[in-house]
Amino acid sequence: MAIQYLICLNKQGIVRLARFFQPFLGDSKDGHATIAQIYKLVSSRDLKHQSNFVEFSESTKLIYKRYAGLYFVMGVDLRDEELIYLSHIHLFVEVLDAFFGNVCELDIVFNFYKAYMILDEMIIGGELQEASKDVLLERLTYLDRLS
Amino acid sequence: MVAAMSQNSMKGLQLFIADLRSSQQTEDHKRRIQSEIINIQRQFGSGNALNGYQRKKYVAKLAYIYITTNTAKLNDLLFGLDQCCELMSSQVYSEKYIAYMTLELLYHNESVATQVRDRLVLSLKKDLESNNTDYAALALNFIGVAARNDDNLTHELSDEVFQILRSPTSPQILKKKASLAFLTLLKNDVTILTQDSRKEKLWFQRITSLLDDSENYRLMLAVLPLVEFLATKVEYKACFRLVPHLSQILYSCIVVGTKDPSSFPEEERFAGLPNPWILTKLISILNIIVAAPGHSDSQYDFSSIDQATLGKLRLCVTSMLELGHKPAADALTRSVRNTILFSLINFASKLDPSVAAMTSSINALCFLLDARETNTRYLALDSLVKLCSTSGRNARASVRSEHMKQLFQLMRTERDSSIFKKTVDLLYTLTDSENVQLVVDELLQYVTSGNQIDHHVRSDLVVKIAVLTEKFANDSKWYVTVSLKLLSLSNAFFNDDDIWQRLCQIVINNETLHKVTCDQLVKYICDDHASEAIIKAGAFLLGEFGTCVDERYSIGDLFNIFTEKYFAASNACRAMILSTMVKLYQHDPQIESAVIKFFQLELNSLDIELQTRSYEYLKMIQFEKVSGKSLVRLIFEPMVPFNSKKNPLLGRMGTLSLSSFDLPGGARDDHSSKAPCPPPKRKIAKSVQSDYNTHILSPKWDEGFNRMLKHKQGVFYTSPFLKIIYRIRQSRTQPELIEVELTYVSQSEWPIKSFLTEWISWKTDENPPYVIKNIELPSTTLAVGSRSTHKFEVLVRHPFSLEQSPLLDLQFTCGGSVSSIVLKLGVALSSTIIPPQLNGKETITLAQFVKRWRSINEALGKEGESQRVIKLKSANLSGGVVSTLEKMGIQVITQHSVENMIFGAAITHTKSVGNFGCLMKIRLTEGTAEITCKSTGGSKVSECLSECIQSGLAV
Repeated sequence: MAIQYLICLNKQGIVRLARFFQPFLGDSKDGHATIAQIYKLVSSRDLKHQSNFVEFSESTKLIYKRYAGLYFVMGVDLRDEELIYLSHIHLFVEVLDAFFGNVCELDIVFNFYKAYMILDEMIIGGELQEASKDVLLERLTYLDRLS
Repeated sequence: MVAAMSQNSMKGLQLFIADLRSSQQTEDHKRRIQSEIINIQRQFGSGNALNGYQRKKYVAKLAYIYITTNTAKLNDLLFGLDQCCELMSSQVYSEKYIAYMTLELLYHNESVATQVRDRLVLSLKKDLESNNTDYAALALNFIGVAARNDDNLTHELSDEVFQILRSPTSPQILKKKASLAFLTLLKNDVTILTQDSRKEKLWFQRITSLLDDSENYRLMLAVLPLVEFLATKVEYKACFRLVPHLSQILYSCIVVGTKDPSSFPEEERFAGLPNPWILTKLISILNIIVAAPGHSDSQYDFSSIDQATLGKLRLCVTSMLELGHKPAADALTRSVRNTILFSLINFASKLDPSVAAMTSSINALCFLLDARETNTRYLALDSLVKLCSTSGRNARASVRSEHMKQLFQLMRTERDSSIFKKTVDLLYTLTDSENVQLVVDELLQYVTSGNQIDHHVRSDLVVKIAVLTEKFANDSKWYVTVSLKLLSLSNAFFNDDDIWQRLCQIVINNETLHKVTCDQLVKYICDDHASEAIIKAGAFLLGEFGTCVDERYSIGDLFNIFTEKYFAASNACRAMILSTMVKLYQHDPQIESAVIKFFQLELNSLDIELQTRSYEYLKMIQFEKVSGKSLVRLIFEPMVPFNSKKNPLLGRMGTLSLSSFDLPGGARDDHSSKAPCPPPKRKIAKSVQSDYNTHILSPKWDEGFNRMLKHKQGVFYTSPFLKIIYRIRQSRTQPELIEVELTYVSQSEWPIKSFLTEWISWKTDENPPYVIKNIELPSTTLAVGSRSTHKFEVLVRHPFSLEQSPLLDLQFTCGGSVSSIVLKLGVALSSTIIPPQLNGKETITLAQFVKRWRSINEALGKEGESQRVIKLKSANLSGGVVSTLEKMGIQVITQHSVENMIFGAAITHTKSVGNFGCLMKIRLTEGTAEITCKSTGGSKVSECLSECIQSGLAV
């Protein structure tokens, strides 16, 4: 019924952003093993001919999309609507892009704390809190000016 | 807007990150991190007062180290937590932010949580209560992100978070955050809401009233997930009353919003649609609240939704279908549209769709089966499978009549194996006795066509063919032909015995099949590559019915055929053939010497089972020869019919349903209506009866209640907020159906909002005494001085006592306060009486009365009677009583012979147990009335009726 986690990985499988709204089941060590599995699964799938969702475990399916060199992966409940989460990812990327101005991986590396700020304004508690790009950007500009 | 380089961007941090990136070699990298940790440790421990900026910079560096080392360095960073907590209480936003952000990253580590928890709770409380919106926003973000599974935060902070959510003065941005933060806490422990039922009711209402403004889509987006959770985990029944409101929002978005672009704010659109996130959430919530027809909780299925709302929901489906046919600009638009379409169609199947509506939904889905995107095909098929298995006959009939060819085509051409499997599942569900030959032929053709398919998929297909063939075959010869063909397929397809064993059982039980089967079996077995399953079936059936075979094959020929196959077969199969040989010997003792020779040879077998069988069979034949007695015939008696009706193959189908509902007179399997994917589970409702008793009636409820029993219209209830007027209408042709119209008049100087009504019936399942159906609901907002109508019908099914009359639960907010009114509806058995002046029948005379009184007495004795003595309110004796009776529709018999005595007659009507004549004598003495009532329906009816009279007299 909600987003379990959102992870942003680069092509080498290095985590750039990670947010867990509920802990991984049975994985105590910060989910290293799970993240590695996710990377393996997602990076091995065919971009063109396979769908953007794949069942990952008994309770989770992954919705993912690659934008340039970054994978954005969401873990959601099995009975959730797949496609709507794909739009979540798309919206997040659009906002990152507008905020940083043509975003690239380095922006997220150097301004990791701002990337998390964007995430927090968009999704908390595993649910979307704001869906309008304009409203989000207005809010982010305001917060950025406070910093 | 490029914001990356604002002035305060912590140069030290940027340099550090750049440094680390340039030293990619692991050793350098590690050394650089280590030296930075030491540096920060020295700074933090130096005793020199750090200023806020420095503290912020160092904490941010620690956060970066945590991320860049992939959390491996956590234990080396714990020293910084104190400074981080210090930073949290800073009054500079950017410093506070860095502290919260760092803790959001670290907090789920138990070692971090234990160290900071106490200080964190204090800081969070302070920030939540702060007047600074930005601080409160940070605290709410933190709870929404990191408080999952933390009992401490849950119990310490739930009140503060809820306070922000409910306060009318909180800015919208905080309300949104508070809603989701509260959801996070609620997920940890629902008892923060449910432990106190009064609080639950109040908070519940506060939350739902946040949806009042049906055009504030931004707040709605954050509140809907909370409502969804309440419906799933706390109380879907309480949410049922939200259905009209939620449907209205859905309607405004989908029907109005897509037709008229100006009716929906542009910034709330995404991919050309009115906020699709809200739409999917709304549908998901409706799907949870509304039960599927036939569900045990029929009070909460479509039949309890008013017609206007149903109409709106159906229009939503139609609009979405129309939209689906318009070309979409890009893949994103298409996929968003389809998401909504799929979930809407899925939900709409619960709303008792018409055949035409179902057909157009099916057509739309089938249209999408040809889509190029794999995603779309997969989801369209998924939707189709759900639709066919949940909504039954209409859906299946529609697919059958139009789309079978398309599905076959899809099966033949699809390359994605999960889509293929779903297609086969769907075909399986769609098969009935009409189309079984067509479907099975297609499936068989696919299996034998040499397509490259996965082993599991193939064996699944074979089992499905076997089940379908048996279940729906209406031509036994065809059944045998198909089954044998299946068995003849190469061994690699399936390696279990269920299929041939089942075939043998059926052939044994049907004499007409013996010859047909044996004839065909011989042909298959003669084939050089006969499969093991065919040989096993042949060994068994030809052994039994060897004499039925075409005369071209003698028993001797059969023996030779099996001898030939014997050496190529597995041991299990050989053991069967050994038994076959004895049976063949029994049919034709002439082959004796060959059989003996064969058994003698197998005495040397390495396999103990084969050796034993050969030895025993050999001894049997030899014994017969020596003693002249027939032992073999005794042991190998003809097979008795099998009595296992259950097909073992069905067990493997899991939850897939067969269309047994379509079988004319066919047995209904209990599992056949199970959907492959059940809708989300709802919290098991408490028993309905106890629910009735938990409601506490509002003061002075009895005035309106009694009045309603006596008068057909009047005032039902008055309070400073609200006045309720009622009017009762009775159908002359169906007196047990009572139509009631309530008019709510707002009396307050503030508008009434979130005005929701709910019926609480004494019992809704297992033969309920009455059923209530809403016809028209009042609007959810009542402006000052305005009124709104509520129409509904009560169907009386059998007599019930006034203790069980329906309750009306009203909830609303007015001027910031939340109110609830619970009233008992004055509808009872007496409401079904038609007044004599209306039913046109002749009134009865005293003589008739006496005659009938006697005949009831003779038939039922005391069983048909009830007696009670009541105090009369005023001294006006007979006149008042007579007029009350007459108002209630009871005929008062004119007579002057007996003083102080009133005679009455009436007929009560019920749906399930019929109509009953009732007679009553009322003796008046000194301010009391003694009612004696007799009824053809027995004492229960008399009891209920005299109870009504008592209430009527109390007005």
